[in-house]
Amino acid sequence: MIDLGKIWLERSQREQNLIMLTMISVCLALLILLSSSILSQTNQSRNQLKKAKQDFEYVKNGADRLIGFALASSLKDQPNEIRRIINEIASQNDLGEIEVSFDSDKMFSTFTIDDIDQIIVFINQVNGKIGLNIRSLDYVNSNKVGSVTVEFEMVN
Amino acid sequence: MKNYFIHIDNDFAKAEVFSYGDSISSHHPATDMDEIRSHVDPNSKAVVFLPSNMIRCIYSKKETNESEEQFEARFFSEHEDDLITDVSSNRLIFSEENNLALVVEKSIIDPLNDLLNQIGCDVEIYPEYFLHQALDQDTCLFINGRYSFSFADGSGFCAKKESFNDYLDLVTKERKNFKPIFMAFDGAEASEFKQTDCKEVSLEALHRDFLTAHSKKSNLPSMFESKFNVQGTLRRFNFERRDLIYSFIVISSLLILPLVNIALMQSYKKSYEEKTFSIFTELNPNFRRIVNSRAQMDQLLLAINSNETKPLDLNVLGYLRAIPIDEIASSNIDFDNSNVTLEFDRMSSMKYSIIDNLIEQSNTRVIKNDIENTDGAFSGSLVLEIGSD
Repeated sequence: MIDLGKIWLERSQREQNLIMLTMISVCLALLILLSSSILSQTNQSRNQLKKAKQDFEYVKNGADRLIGFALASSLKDQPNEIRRIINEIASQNDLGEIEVSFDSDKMFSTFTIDDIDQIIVFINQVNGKIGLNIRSLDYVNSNKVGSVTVEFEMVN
Repeated sequence: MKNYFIHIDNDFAKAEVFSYGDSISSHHPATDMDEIRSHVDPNSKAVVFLPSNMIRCIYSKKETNESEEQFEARFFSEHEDDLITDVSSNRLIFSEENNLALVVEKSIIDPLNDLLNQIGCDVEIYPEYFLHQALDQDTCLFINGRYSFSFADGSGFCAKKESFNDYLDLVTKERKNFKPIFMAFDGAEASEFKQTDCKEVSLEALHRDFLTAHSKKSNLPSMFESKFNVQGTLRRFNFERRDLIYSFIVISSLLILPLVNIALMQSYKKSYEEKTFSIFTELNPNFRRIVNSRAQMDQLLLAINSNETKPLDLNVLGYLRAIPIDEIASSNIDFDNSNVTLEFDRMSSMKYSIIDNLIEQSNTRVIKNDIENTDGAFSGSLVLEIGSD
């Protein structure tokens, strides 16, 4: 077996310095190589993650549209069912005095609110459960009572 | 900073350690060589004395045009016969100022250097006779059962008590007018020097004199060779076990955390890909694999009329929160055109300025402004276009 200690001791001071310098250079080079590799892998992984997330969001958005379309299509000729679902949403969110009416390809929902957030929740839930998209929103503030009319677009 | 004097004994097994601080001094006799470290504080000055008989001290002069290598070669060729062992197994230390060459066997000095490199101090190794060296005077010190001689020419030697008389005869023959000053302490017998001057000294006084004489830059040739040593470095930096553990954790973290970060990002990426795949399988249970998710989803969306299924614009919904529409008489949001119409009915100037500031800070553009200020009350309509972001 090679006795490295003996080999080292047999070297002159100059040779020992040269060997040490070489070893330090090799270690530094390895460190730089390792750091560079880690940095490159980090960038690559970050880009891959960003792309995977964007793809997921795009696909989810598309899927929501497909599901919404399917829901809206299935409920197109069932105004009573739509009314029932909207009443259910209204009662779950404490919306007052809800009225639902239909006019060709439009559906109108009128109700009173205590809080602005109630409108956002209502629109989201209608979109999620019936697949209808909002077209416009009217808000009238009368004696601190908010009256809201939301216009939804029906699927042809 | 503490100063330590370490006297190595004849058989290189024990040492005597003297410590001198600002006010406290201590003495550890017959300390094992491996125990020296425990009696010496790091970052102190340690002067180590080797018995002079372990070192050959030769008066020698280096020529001005001579390199160190040339001098070493010449020196060893001139004194090869004086050396007991092979030339290569000896180390030469030369002081140009004192014209003094010290030759010591590597088998003695190397292990000592290794040991002393572990204590994390500023170490100097000298022959013991340096301690009682006097200018142009021969001196003799009786210490630890040996007689240490320092000669006026800067060289020195030491003899064991048993061989003292033989050595003295030899020296007296070689050196005319050899009348050393005998130094003794702790009641050491001075019988051999009855006819000469005797001087009662204490070892502590010699140590202090040595420190005073060489307090600044010592011109004495030290045999200590400083080398990198892990234990010595750790002691020098006063690293404790806890510090080492913390350092290890920090260094490991520096190496491991980037790898953990990569692994986490890969894991999140995989999770997104799995979720994307599960969306496709929910839409179509016969779906097998994703090649290009966007293109595949676009293909599915071709089946429906895109005008009828526009994605819900959450940005416009979020805008409801930004403007306090409950403070406004009425408002209309047209989601198709991303327009907001605000109707004001005698709104106070303070409330209007708040809303005006909010509108300015938000991502909107005023399309139409029919607001009128009547005695500090604002009435009329304002049409805003909401930005796409």
